[in-house]
Amino acid sequence: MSFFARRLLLSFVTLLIIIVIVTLIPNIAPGDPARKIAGGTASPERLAQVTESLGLNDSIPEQLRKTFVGVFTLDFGDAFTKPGESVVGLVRASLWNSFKLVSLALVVVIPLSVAGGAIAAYKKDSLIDRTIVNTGLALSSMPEFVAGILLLALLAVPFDFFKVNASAPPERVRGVLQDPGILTQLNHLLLPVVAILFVYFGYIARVTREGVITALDSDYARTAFMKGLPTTTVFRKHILRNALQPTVAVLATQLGYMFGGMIGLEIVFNYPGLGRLIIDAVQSADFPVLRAGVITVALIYMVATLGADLIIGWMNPRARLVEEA
Amino acid sequence: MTTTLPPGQSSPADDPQNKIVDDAVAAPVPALEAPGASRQQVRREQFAVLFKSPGFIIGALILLFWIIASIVPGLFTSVDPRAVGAPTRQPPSGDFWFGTDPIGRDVYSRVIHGARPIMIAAPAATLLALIMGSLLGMATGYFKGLFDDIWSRIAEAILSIPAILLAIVIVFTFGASTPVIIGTVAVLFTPPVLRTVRAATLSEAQLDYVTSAKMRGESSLFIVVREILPNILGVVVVEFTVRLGYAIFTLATLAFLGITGADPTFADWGIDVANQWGRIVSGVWWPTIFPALAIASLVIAVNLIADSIEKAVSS
Repeated sequence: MSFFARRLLLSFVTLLIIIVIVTLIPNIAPGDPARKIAGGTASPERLAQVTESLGLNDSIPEQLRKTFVGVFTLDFGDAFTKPGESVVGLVRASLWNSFKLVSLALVVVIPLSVAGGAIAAYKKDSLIDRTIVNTGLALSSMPEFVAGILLLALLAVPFDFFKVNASAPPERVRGVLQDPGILTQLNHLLLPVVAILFVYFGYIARVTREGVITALDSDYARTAFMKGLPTTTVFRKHILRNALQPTVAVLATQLGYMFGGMIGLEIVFNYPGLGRLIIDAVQSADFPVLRAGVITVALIYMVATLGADLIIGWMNPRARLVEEA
Repeated sequence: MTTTLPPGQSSPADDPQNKIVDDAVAAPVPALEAPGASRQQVRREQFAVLFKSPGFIIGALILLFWIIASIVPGLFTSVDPRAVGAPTRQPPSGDFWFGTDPIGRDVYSRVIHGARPIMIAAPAATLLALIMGSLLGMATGYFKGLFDDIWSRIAEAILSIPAILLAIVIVFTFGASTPVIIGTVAVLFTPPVLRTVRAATLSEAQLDYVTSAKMRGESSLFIVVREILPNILGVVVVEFTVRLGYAIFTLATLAFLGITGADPTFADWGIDVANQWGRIVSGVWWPTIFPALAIASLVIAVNLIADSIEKAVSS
């Protein structure tokens, strides 16, 4: 089996396990989960509704069948708390918002962290190396909601330029409400992007640094330097291509987290992304939305890691051979 | 990540028949003593490196402060964290070091007393995850085969979802209480421990001392617990400190999201931040920023320690 087909099969198995786990959780919860979620004083109607939303009226095989059918037909029915709104529609809207935030964050985070890691490796054990590594460690230690709150207090409140809200309000142009311009949207997304930079700079810079140190130690790097090539050329043509493979792998595993795990950040900056959709679903006891949201995050992870495998295979053809041996 | 052997696939070196075992059979005793002695020496050198590292010293001092605060908060403050007698919304001053919150509680006292819940929950969850993950990791790495395949797939699946998301789903359906939250974090942190310990066990199991123990006819249990475990202890210790940092991170985030089993009037950093952060916009930043900084200081301290231990172990 080819390297990629094998990877594809394994990710598929991973996705199936996640679907099974998420579907089964209400069944293994002790006592009556519907009563716990609805609260002790809930009316019988409400209780029945929550039980239905958890899927507990069906047998376990039937629950699994329904979830699988839902995933493959992209149809999970209507949201429980918002009649008339389809689960998939809600997920799609927040996915688009998360996509905007994450892509902007990647555009900022990747170049800065890779440059930071490469500089730290090149100046290994110098003051600048220690500063980059330690600042990165301290910043990425903060939970993202703490980073968001510090930015809110230090920048958004004193300075008008930095926005408290990550989503720009619609603009009124000649009496008609319109989507705000791209610059306004970017301005509003700035602080959450800085918070994501805090979370990931240290992590990605560190992985890049390790990779670059190994690559700098190699014979081909030494040869390139001894040929008298300029440092930037050596980095661009020889080092980074080899050194960045772990960075690509790490970025891929973190993409699911960027989409679905930044819940605290989305709350602090009032941004309607996937994380917000999921925590709102918890607060309104809307299990179908919750389940669809979690499965979406697993899908993103799957696509991202497969994409990373392709990129790594392209960067280093040897990686494709490793698992065929 | 792509270079690890797929689960269940063994390299030729795993096959005992391919190994030269004569030496091990002829002189098992000295062969066993020698690594033991050098291990002690290595440990001593590792500790020397560790205690000289500034990162470790700073981290340990901050952590020590929070440990003392969580055991005897009375050492640092005599004010009841739940008392509402003080004037409300006082900014930090000589009387109220961290100011007072909108219902007149002393923020400094709440920060000091707020250390206890997380200093109990985070180590408890981490320790549970470490025990489960190490047992499963050693078993999968040593026995391999179908057992390994199944557990590795499940671990991979759980790792593909941010821990915070699965924690929300589990606590949502199981009901929010402190034991459920600790258990949930423990279960979700088992896969990363499993993966690390499994990798370490796989590489140890190929070494000659394991082969020679097998030739002596030792039981699998003896080999795993008495032969392999002491040699991967460094990995396990690093894993504990790394996971502890993540556990604090995750528990604080859960509390911030309102997913907590604690009484909301009790001092808890995450809950206090959740209840107060909306007032930052109106200029009342102190009831939020001080507990937020406390969370940050604790995670940074643990990560500094983890980082230094990792460096010492690999030195």
